[in-house]
Amino acid sequence: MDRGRLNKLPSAAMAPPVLEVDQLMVDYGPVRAVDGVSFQVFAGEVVGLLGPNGAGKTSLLSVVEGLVAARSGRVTVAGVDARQHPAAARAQMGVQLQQTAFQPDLTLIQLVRLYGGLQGMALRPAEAIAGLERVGLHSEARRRFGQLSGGQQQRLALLVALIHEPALALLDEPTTGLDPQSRRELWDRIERLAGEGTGVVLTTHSMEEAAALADRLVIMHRGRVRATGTPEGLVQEFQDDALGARSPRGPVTLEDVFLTLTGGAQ
Amino acid sequence: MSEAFTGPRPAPSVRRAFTLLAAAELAGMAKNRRSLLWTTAVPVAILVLDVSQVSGRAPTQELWSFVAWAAVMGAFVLGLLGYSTDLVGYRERGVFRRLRTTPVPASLILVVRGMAALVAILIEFLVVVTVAMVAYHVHPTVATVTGGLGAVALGGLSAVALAQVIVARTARAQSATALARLVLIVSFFLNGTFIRLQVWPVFWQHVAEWTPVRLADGVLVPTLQGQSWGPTVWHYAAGLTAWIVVTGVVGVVAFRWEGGDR
Repeated sequence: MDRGRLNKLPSAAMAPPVLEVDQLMVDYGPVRAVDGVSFQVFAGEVVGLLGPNGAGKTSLLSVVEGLVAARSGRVTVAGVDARQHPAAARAQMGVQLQQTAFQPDLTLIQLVRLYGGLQGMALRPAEAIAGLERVGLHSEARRRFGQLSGGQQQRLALLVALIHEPALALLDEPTTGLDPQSRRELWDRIERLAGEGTGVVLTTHSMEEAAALADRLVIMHRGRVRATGTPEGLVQEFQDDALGARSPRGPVTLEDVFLTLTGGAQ
Repeated sequence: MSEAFTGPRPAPSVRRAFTLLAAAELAGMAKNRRSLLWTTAVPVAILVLDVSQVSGRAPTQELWSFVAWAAVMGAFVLGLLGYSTDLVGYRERGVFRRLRTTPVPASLILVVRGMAALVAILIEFLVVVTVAMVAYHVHPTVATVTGGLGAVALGGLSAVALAQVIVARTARAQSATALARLVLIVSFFLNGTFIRLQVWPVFWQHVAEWTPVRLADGVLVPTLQGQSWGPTVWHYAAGLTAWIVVTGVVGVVAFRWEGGDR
């Protein structure tokens, strides 16, 4: 990744965050899915949200997206209170969901124009095709969404999520099911996106992806934040800790840190 | 992309969002030709079956009552069964979830879906009338067709709103579809489709009189027959409107956007 970007973070941190989550709690009936989570994301920063299944990552993102009501806490997107003004907050963010889903009978041009329009943009067909070209889908422009492969669907989802150049991008496991080539292409796009100043929250189960893309990691377990820091910083911290991770296969890795924090270590 | 990529912008107006969503729904509907064909085939088949049971040439007024019944059945099959299946499909696939991440009000998404279903119901009605004109030589006036469209719209909206309540209150696709089928069969039963209403106990005849299918039939038949609306028809229309308002509000406010148990 472009590690030069890390050098920009201290100055970026001087500006208000594009996402501020403060003491957020989410309940599903008697189950507390998110328990007092706080973190910030700044412009141009990629924050990796890690955690095992059921850690509360998707619930947390769902509150930010305005899809799920929080029990308490505060979420601010580009200065807009997302709980008080969810529509205004959603206008500032681009969302790629874990499950990529669009109207199956619409063509890619129609989908790009529709979702661009719903984000406040009036795109002509030529502009929609130009957008599709950016993700290598221009030759599929007149095909229906339901006819695309999984990788193509993911690329379209990313295009649609970012077409309005949001201040904040929420990418929920965007590379799941992609072949290595498509995954690398998507990584490049995420890096470019952050380079252009968008704050990115990325959830992933891939430690390789987290280490390659994220400037900072937030590791969640059972609804709580267990650790935050840069990938290198977290590894270093655990390497220096006598009670920390014990890697059975040489030097401590990010995966060792993750497993130790989330109770998966042997 | 001159306009694109210039930074975040305000959410679109409700009118613009409505136009975009409606255009997308209609485009999707037009592409699904097999579904459209099937949709129009049901009421046409009902009309042909009904007319075939009459020996000789059916009187015009009776033909119109057959057209009305075919249109009402078609509207409820499409509105109740087809629309609930569509809603569940969007929910299960996550299309609703995706749409709700845009700044558009969630209720608008449902309203547009419902209106698209209504358009399909109105097209279905026009197809039935056209078949009746060509095959059975009925000659409707513009006023009859216009009034019929209004009456079908009322009946169709009641079916759509009822479907919305069903999907709002059921967590799983199978439950929603099964419940929609059950409601459909009970509705037809209460309209005397399987056992003539006249042989029912009086109490049940009164109950049946206020069900949406019966009310829609009660409004559409006199409209297509060119009769002026008397107090009874106005009562039917008012009853249908009440159904639409109550179920429409419940269906939108209490709508379950996510499938599954959570």
